[in-house]
Amino acid sequence: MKRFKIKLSTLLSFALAIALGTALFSVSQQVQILEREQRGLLEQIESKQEAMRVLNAEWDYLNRPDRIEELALRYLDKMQSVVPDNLIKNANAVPEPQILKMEDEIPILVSTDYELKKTEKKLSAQPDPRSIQDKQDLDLYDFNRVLKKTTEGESE
Amino acid sequence: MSRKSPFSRLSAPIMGEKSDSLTLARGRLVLITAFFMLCYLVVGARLIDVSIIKGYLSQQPDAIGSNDRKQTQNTDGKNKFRADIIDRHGVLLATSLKTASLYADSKKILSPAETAKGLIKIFPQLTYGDTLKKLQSGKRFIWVKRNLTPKEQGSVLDLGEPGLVFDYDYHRLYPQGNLVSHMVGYSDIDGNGLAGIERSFNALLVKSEDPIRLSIDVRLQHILRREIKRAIADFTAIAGAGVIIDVNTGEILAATSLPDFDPNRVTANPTAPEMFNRVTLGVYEPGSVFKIFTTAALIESKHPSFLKKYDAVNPIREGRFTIKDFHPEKRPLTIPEIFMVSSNIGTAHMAQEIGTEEFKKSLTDFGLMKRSEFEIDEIGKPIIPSPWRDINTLTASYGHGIAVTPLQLISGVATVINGGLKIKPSLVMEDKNNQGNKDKSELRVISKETSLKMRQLMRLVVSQGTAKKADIDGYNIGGKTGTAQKNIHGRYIADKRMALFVGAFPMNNPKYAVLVMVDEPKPNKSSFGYATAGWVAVPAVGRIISDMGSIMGMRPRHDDADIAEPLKQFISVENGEH
Repeated sequence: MKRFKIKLSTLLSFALAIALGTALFSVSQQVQILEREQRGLLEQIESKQEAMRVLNAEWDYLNRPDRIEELALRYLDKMQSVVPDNLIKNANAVPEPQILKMEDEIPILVSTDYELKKTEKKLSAQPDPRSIQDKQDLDLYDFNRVLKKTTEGESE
Repeated sequence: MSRKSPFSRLSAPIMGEKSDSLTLARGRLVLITAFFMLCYLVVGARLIDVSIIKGYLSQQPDAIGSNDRKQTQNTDGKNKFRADIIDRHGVLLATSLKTASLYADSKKILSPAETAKGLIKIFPQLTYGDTLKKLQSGKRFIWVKRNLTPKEQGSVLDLGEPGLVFDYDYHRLYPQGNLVSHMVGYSDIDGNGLAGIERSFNALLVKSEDPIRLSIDVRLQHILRREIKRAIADFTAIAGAGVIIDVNTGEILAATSLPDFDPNRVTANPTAPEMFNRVTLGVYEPGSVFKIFTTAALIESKHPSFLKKYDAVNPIREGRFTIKDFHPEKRPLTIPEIFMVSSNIGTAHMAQEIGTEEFKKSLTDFGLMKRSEFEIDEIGKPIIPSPWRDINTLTASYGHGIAVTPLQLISGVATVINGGLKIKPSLVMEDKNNQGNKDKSELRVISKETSLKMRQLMRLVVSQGTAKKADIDGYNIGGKTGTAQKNIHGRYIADKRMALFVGAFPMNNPKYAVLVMVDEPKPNKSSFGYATAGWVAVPAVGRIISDMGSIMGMRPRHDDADIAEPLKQFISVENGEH
């Protein structure tokens, strides 16, 4: 009758077997879930890549030189095609657009003292060494710089 | 205790004389029960696995994708992916797109009438009655439309009909259309390359994922094609060809043969005129352009003084041939004069001085005597007189009775002017990381001095001679014109010509050479009855170089001295006579 007493070691090994079985089961399930996820991602990548190929082809199709030329002739009638003598050595030689400076000066000339101060303040709050186009592009994407600039403006 | 735990009986003592065997029996029962319980546990776990995890989760959206992929793999065998072909700046010249083709499984169609109505709305070329009949036929596989656009595919999906199924395969697309047709070539619906790079690199395109980068620049290609097209239209010519080459590396920046075809829709049979590659496959008598090689060979082998005069008065008669000049000067001429006014008689005398063997050797060195090596398979074999008698030397000296491909011609000219190093024309860029730095050739054909003299002579032709219409201020263009009578079935026809001009710039340090050839130009009013190279091909090259210079960012150099200036002392021709 002592034979039927379940030994502690037997119990332990049973428990261990069950625990290991469960662990194995759950790991295998996790692996399957991850594999499925990976498959999904791979397919997404593949379809995105395929979409990129389509878009690339379309981009190059729309940018055919003859089409661009035709569009330029149709819509840019004030502009002429470049001749060799139009080429200059560096971009700085291109004259700066003068209109903006003039616009700044006009209110100073016609305004009273009070308004003049106001415009000055506005100008000093926006130091702008770069060209106009660059600034717009950067401001759109460089949030940190915009944040810093606005806080600086406030402290002033 | 026995009531409290169901397991207590397992170990409860059994009394009596047969207790031993009873205990044994019970032990076995317990073991068997435990075994079955384990079995049920496993079955239970498996049930959870199959029904919940695999069953439920696999209904998530990615299941459709996996279905998709299986179909692509199935079709891979029948319509293969081909790698892209791109130009030197990465613009697509040929690409493979996965396109959907639509077929219907009529057993699964829920409402044939509705579906047919929807389909004819998306594809106007289908008819309602026909489509409806097909959808009701009971067949499991009916092609509705091959190679749908993504937009059409979207509209079909919006119909939400389970019986409409897509099959995916790769479709070859040429976004540039006609522009680079002969160089890139085309492939058939099964993905086999049939011409150009598509044919010669077929094995690689099928195997590789990486694109093949050509040395072509689509912008220059467009300029070249536009100007040749204009020349053909202006002079009602039948065909034309053009090449732009980098004279130092041999890279072909543009090469066009007109008429051409749209590789997206190849309907003409392979022998149709638009399928013929005039740049690499066609061989033509080059006419006076060949005088470049004769003069270079003479300067290289005999080092003649530019003061030496050659007879250009009396036409040369030998056998049944008579060599005459188009614009007879009727006086002895120096070499610069002969080259400038393009005197056939003078050049023939020069070739006589070189001697037949030496002349043939020089032509071989310039790569004009045998089929050139190039990356596409459509390569013409030059027509060389055989046997080569002394009279052939005389006629070949001015490009008569010998025919080469335009590609050979411009490669030879590039070799003459780039300082004398032999170049090999190439269409495929060697290395992506090394682009634009292709090693210079090391094989010297003529000396630097000869090359410089040739550049001076070619500059003279543009600044004072037959090609004044290509003289763009600041670019120092040089070149040589050639107008050859066409030889049809062995007979020269007086009013059918080829107008040819090879120009290069800047002559102080040549970078690019441009060849324009126009086939059978007819005189028009603006050319005062002329249809010679000077009127047909030269202005075209002038416009090409003018547009090309601004694209390549080459600034005109007005201060540079004209390298032809030192030659003026050898010239006593009254200008403007012709």
